[in-house]
Amino acid sequence: MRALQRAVAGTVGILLVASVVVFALVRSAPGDPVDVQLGESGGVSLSEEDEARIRAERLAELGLDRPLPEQYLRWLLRMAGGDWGTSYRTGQPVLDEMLDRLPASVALGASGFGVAVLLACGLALLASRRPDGPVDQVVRLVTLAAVAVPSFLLGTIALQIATGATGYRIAGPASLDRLWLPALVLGIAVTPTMSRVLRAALVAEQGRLYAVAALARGASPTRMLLRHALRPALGPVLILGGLAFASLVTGSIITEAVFTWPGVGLFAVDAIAAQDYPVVQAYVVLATALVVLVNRGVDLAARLVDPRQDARAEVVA
Amino acid sequence: MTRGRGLLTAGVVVLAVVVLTTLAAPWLAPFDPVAQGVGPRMAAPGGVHWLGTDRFGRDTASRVLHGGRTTLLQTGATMLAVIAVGAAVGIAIGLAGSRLDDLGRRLVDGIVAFPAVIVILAFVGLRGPSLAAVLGGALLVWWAPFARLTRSLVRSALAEPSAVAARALGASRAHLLRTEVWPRLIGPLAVLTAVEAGQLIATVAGLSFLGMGAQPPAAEWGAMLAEVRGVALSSPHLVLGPGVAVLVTVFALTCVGEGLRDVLDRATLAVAR
Repeated sequence: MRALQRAVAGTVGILLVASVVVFALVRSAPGDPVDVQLGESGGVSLSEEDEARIRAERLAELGLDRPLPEQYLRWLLRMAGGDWGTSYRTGQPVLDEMLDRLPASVALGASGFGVAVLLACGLALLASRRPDGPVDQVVRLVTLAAVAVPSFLLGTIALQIATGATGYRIAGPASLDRLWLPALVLGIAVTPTMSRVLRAALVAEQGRLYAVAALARGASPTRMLLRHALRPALGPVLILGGLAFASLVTGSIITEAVFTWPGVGLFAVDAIAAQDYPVVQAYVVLATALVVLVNRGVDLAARLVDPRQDARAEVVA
Repeated sequence: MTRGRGLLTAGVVVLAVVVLTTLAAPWLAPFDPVAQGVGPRMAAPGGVHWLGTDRFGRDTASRVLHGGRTTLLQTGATMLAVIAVGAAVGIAIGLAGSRLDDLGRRLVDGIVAFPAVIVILAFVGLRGPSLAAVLGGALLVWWAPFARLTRSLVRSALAEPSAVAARALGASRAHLLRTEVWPRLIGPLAVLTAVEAGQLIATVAGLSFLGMGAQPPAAEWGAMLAEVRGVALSSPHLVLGPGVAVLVTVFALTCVGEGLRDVLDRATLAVAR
């Protein structure tokens, strides 16, 4: 219980630090919201003193004439209260826009993760049957190559093939018959790291006494790997979960853009092109919070599942 | 034994070919990379224009060859800056006392765990798209893996018996750095540099594809990609040229990193035995 309390306190601390960083990033942008609004008043040319007066009024209204720490606190309270501002483009509250698109992104991320787990397990089991054997070498080359293939290239080629072969349609709302292709591309992007860690863990498990004992009892190498070694080897992969999540977030931005999958990533990309700052800020806040929470969650889960994890992680590092 | 060396050799050779061809672009490229209408518009690959032409009738092959110069040069410069900052921070944390070390390690770990793309996205989103903004955003976070590696190498090097002995004999920090830490630093840093350089090129290319990097009409891999996102489905050959250039470069760098790691690991093992 003590550990849990400390973990929660630690997480809140990290979130606060992250929020300061995000706030600093947002505030360090050249120009301020008033510039943007004055710019948007379009065509109407203001005299210099009028502009100065309006600017001062607006700055005071937005609280931008206050000291920075106070601005930060106000900003933090507003964000925490769910007031994330209004999108310049759609005129809708940004938080609503984000929550509308989040399910599509979660669906893509989850299915991409599923694809990656399946592919990684398959590749790692193949490779670890005979470490450094020919199959292992080929798998290693394949994963190295997969690291190098840019997602946009893979996505474009996959899209080309799928539209030709299956009449895959890129337009329209999020649906299952649109999901499989971006999920596949996203999964392939996440697979290499996962499969390499799993292979290393499987090879390490094979050297343990229980594995040798299983072989001595007459279990086939495949059975030994699947029934005995796979489960303990998944531990290190779980710890990698945080890293995998980070690459899912990164990968989903490009995948969503290639397949025009209507998630938060595509929304953010379009927002950057349109200089829709509230949406950019919201995306950064959302992604940061999710990454921090998932990382801490994975750490905590790994520790609860296997208290030795701490000691083991130290050894690995 | 041959495994690591083979990868390393292959990677170095491919990388050398990439660098040399981009350097020799003015002589190798069949057309002016920015001249419009040197061929028909949107021509498919083959014949005179072996990578096709874009919507202004510019020769894609010539643009890929010339574009590599900007891409490789800018990425290289960014990598140098990132290595310098990362190594400096890592050495500083590693040499500092245990309190500062713990705090520094946590901070660096936090940055490493964070997706660089989000930071770059924020940076670009607030400053407007350009290659400088993407690389500037990368500068903010990309030093962290180098700092983490350097710190742990410094710590372990200082714990070696020879380093402890040197310190007991009154060696200065500068002397310890030069004789004990530095030799153990170079190899692993080279491995990380190769791998991270590949990742940086891939990331910049991906963001450029989304229109956040170098802007058209520059002949640069990213800018070329930015121009074709809308027409990628109808004219995939326009993505293929710069895309494959990125792929080959990143693959070569990854192979160099992997091969180097193998070779170095084996060298360390041999010494240990």
